[in-house]
Amino acid sequence: MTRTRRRLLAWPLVLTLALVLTGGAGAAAWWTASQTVQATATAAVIAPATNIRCTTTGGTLTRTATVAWNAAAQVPASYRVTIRSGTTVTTTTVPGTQTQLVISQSLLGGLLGSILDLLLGGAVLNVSVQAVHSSGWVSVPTGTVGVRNAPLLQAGIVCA
Amino acid sequence: MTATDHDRRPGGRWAGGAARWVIVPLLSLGALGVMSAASALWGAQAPVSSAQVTSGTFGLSATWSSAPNLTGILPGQSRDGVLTLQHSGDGTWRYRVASSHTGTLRPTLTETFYAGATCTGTPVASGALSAATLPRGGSAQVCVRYTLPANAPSGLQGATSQITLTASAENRPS
Amino acid sequence: MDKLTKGAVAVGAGVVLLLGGAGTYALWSDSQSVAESGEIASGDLDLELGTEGTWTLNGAAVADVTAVRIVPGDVLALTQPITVTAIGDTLQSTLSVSSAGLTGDADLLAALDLAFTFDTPPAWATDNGDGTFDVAPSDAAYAPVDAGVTLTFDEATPDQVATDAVVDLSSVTFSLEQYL
Repeated sequence: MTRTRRRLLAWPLVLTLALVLTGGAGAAAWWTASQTVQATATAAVIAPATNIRCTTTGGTLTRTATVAWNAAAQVPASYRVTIRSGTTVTTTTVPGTQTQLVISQSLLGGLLGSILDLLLGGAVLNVSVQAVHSSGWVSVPTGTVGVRNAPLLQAGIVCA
Repeated sequence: MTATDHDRRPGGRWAGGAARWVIVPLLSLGALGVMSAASALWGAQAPVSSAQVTSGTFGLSATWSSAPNLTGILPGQSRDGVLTLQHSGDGTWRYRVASSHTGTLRPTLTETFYAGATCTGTPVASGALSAATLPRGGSAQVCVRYTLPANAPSGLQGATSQITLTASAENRPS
Repeated sequence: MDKLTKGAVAVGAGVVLLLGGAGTYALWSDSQSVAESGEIASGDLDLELGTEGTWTLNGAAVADVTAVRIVPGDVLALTQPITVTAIGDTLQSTLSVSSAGLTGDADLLAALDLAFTFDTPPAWATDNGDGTFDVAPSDAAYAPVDAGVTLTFDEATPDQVATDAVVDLSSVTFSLEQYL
């Protein structure tokens, strides 16, 4: 009887020893306590140029269309002016401190010959402006203003 | 009782000398007198201690000692925050900081952990156990740096992420 | 037999019968005392505590055990001098600590292991390997010896299990039990 009792008592000791020995290496468990903190991150939005407008300037035979806009809330590194007709697109960049661009035939010819041809063929070119951040991020574009070839008896570019 | 009668009573191993097997019945009777339980054997007890033993507590608080300003992040920018972990209760401890998020800004917005109050030195992997074992009631600081890579796409403008940092302490031996 | 002889025998028988009926008759006898010395002594099984025991936590002395806060991995040890008496030529007894007497918070009880040891095992105690010791019988009480009772808090206790809990040692006893 007593020897059996001794063997029964021995097992908890063996198991306890096993637990103590393997506790460090095997099924690791510890007292733990934890807490969370929060943070909300939002990426910047590049402020756009606004109030794009077109003004026809120059003499009867030297018409130019001056496209102007209000500066973006944060002065960008530059403004990107996009001139489009259908699928034909060209862009030009002006410094961020500049808030207007004079559209002339020579400007257009210098940017993209085909777009000048379209203009001369009677197409209206749509102009829009985006603010460009130094990182390369660009703002949403403004609305568009149109420019076209000067009508009969005039020469140059006029607002559409 | 004759000399050939081998009496195997407890303790009563057969021996010469008639005195021996007289004692045995006396001892058995004596034992019966001492114990009233069925086992009828001698026993003695003494209390070990009247003490109560109490186990400790183990707690952790985590707060932004310097919360990172993560609004309007532009490509190429880094924003840092410092997390302070404070142990309460008993035992030595090591900590880990794990992160989870919702939204679209992460993981393009990177997150790097550093042990200490400044975001310098070797970064610590998210969820990794701290190298140091800290004392009872001690505190630790973790610097977290959020960086939007310079080549992050423009389409990420205005994207947000809700970030949850979980700091946990483990009662590790020193 | 001749008649004279028969007569003598008859007379003799008559005398014997007459003598037997009137008084006692005696058988041979002899007596010896049973034991050379007249005293028989019984044995004794007793357990006494010495001065109040001292506590250590992981080897370092503790002034007030009730002020201690144990954490997983801790070993809380009590050193208590005990005097064991096991007198009896053929007395077999076992010295142990009854861990069943440990009461209190269930989680903490499950995480604690109560063990009985000797700081320096005396010659008369044989380790049974299960936390109990066989006591060799003698003819006088043994000199006091330091017995150790250790409480080991399971190192692998997870989460918040058994935090801020209390166990009571009041019902834990040293036990010296005879066995057959």
